[in-house]
Amino acid sequence: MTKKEFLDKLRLEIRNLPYDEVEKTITYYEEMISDRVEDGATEAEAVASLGTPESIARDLQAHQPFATIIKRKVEDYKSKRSPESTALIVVLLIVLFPFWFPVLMSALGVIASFFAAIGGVIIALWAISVSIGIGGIAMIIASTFGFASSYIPTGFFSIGLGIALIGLSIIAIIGSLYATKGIIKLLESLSHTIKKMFVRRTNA
Amino acid sequence: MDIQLKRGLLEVCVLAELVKGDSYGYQIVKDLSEVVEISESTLYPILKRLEMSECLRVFSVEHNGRLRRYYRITDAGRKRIKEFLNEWEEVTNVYTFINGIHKGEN
Repeated sequence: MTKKEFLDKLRLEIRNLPYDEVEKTITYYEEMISDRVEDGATEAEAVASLGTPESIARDLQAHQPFATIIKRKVEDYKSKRSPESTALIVVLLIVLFPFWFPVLMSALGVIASFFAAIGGVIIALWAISVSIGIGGIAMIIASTFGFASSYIPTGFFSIGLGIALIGLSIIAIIGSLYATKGIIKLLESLSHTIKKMFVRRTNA
Repeated sequence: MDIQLKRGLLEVCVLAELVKGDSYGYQIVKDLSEVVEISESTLYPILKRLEMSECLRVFSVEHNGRLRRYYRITDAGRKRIKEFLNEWEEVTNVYTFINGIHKGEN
């Protein structure tokens, strides 16, 4: 490869970098080749000793911040597509709408129902616990009617049952409290695991 | 060697080279090649980082009808070398400690 071929290829490979970055890089490698040639190497030797333009470009891209890399990847993807193929993708997206839309929606639906189910469990637990308590209170109120209408045994029975129900309700509420905390913790660790998987993948 | 470690070491190597006097890319690569494996392509990002952190300054000198970029160490660059040497004194102590135990085991 001649110096010109090398520099042209390099310029093409790093065209996505900021303008002054491209110029600086080209100037640097131009100088390196000239200095090696002055030192007695042939132009081909000098070029060969620098590595391929592709690998140089890859190294330079890797030194850019992660956000810039992503942006560049997207831009690169866009620029590599001809307008025709971009149009083709748009047309395909529209034509295939009946196929991908239900898939997307059902995926979202699964996620939504997952959270709804968990929320439902929590609500049900609390509803049961609280309603047992309400039942107990109602029983105690009912017992006064028993006493008032001189059904004494019924009155005592109602009071006993009422107190038992309130006790049960308190235990159930404590249980629900722990269950809710546990579920929230579980969800947190789940989301943490998912995030970690994602981060590891992007670092690779 | 760990790539992050090597990068850090090379940065200080380049600065140390510049303590001897202003130099240019190819000369730096040639001089450092005797000490450590380095190529023009590894040097480039190192020079860029050192320039960004103002450890060195760049200026152009005409040479054979073209411009050659020279690098000169700054005060920040000298400070960086000192910091490195202080840090590595600690690393050397740790090395001696680990090595002593390792040898004692065998």
